[in-house]
Amino acid sequence: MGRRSRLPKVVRNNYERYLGLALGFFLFVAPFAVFTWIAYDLLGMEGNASIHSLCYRLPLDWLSGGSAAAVGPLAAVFIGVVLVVALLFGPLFCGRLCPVGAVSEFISRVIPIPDKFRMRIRDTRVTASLRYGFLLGFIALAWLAGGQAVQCSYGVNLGRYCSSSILEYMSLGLFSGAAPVNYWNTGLILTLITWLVLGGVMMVGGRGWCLFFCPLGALSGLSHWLGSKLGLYHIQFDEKKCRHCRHCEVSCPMWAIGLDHKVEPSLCMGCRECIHNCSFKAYRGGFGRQRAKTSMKVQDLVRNIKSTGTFMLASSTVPAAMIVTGPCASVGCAACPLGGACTVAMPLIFGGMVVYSKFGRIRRALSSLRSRLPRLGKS
Amino acid sequence: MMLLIAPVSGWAGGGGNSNYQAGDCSCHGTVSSATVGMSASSTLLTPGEEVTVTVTVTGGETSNRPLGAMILSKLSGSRTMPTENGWTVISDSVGTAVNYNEVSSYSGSATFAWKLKAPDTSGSYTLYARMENSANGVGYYKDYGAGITFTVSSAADGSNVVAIETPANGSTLTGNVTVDTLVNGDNITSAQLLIDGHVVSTSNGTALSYTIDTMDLTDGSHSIQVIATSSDGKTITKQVDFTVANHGALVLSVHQSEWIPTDIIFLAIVGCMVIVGTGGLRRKKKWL
Repeated sequence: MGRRSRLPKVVRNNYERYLGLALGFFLFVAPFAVFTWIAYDLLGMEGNASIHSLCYRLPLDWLSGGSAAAVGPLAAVFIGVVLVVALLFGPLFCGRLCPVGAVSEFISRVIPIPDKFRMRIRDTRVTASLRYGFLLGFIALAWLAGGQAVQCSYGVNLGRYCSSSILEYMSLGLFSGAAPVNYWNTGLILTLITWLVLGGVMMVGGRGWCLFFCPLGALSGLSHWLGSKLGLYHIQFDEKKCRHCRHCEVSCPMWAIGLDHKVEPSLCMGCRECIHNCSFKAYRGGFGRQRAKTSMKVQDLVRNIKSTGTFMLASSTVPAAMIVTGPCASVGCAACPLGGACTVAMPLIFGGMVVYSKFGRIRRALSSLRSRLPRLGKS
Repeated sequence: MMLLIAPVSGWAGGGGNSNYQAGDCSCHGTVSSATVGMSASSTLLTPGEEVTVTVTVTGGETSNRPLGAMILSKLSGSRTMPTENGWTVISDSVGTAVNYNEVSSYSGSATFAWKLKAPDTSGSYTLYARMENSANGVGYYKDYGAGITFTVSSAADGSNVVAIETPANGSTLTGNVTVDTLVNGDNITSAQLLIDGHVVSTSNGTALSYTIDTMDLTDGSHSIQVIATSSDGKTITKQVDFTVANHGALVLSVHQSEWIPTDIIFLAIVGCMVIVGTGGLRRKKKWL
């Protein structure tokens, strides 16, 4: 009688992916950075092997008006390979190797908050609009206002909002005792909270950072979308086999499966969780184009128009915020007559919205209690 | 006018206490055998600070004739007087406020003292001394050519002369940390770097750099000191305190807690994401 594995079913079903994610940490993150060491040896290069050697934000720096020379040869080759693989076979690096996404996904899985209390956008068009809207907003603003104006995740001065460097910092602290001196600043703490708490714990699938802030993820998604349009590898959905159990929806960490159960290639990261979690084998990976019915094309068009607003909102967020904070940049928060009140107010506003949304039941219960109290008093 | 011409012509009776340029005394062409010394009450000064400069003359041609001494900013060229180089003469040995003083009868030893006010602009300033006398119709002179260099620092604590650049005061350190110091004064003759009171590096007035392996230190509070000593024996001490936390590296304190405008942009994006994301919660009946 065989001994039953104690691994969760989700891991057993897709164990090669979880092995890859664990391996990715040792391949790319210092003090291990095995991949980088090997690459350095093969290329005869010198330097400290770390996740920075492969910095995938530098191409975005270049796109936003920086210097192409800043992209090192190793990073250029690495990013090129990731994008070509994404074109041909899907974003396998994101789904199967990336240690940054793996950590937030891991945290999301081990913290036992029911999914109904976590954020999720069900409409894949809205999610994609936000993802690529932010990307477009950053690049457009960088071109219009100069690279230095965009000191955020996609822009220059990348370290302030770099989740990868936080991961490496923690790794160095844990495994080598040689973490950098005076590392934490306000931007990095915001990044940590967004990456692990908002994007990890508070979002279904724990891939919020990958969805909305990772430039390599966004570029890989575009590459995969292009590949799927060309008939290259993508996840195909067989409507006839679907029993509408919706396991695929909740098992997809990237919110790539929408109401119609189809996988949106610009969001898919090639994790194949949908394939392994569908009891009815409705999903499979394959090549070739799927012909859409005319009615579906019309439906798609309508949804595209509906999601255009979200796209515009997302793409204008960064420029609008830049316009609002433009005077702040010249004065500086420390010298601001408001005393940096907005830095307190904004988290409170957003936090209030979250609390308001999450505790709607409490609100209704209090309202119900209020309406009953007079009656209780009379009796 | 007569006073200005007199020393140039080698007037045997002396030039009188007055303001003179270095070139005004060109008739004193023979180097004296006297010894000229020079000292200052301090060489590290704040702008406008008072300092006493003393010039001593010993030996030489002791002919009971007048002997004079002057302080100069340059030993040749134009605009050589201290007052033309930022200094103010407050008082001198004879109760006036000029750069040239005389004793009427020199017999082997003379001392002159000036009280000066330092220039208002930070920088490095040098003062020289020149002695002049005459004997048997020969005009002698002797310079204190080494001069005294004064460092005038706008920072009252001399922090632009000596400073510990890294690590920052109050920082929490792990692993190997490089200590970089600034030792910048021309008149700094020695500097020491101390960790917890123990000298770990020294120099003869140049900047010090030292790498601390914090694994050699216990977790907790420690200090780095730099002690710089000037040529006049004055010391400047700078200290930073730091904490070693090798066994708690993941919980380091925030060293830079100020917000910058891009943080607000970042928050705006996060807010946009959260608003749309939480919108899904309100439709959870359509969900699982």
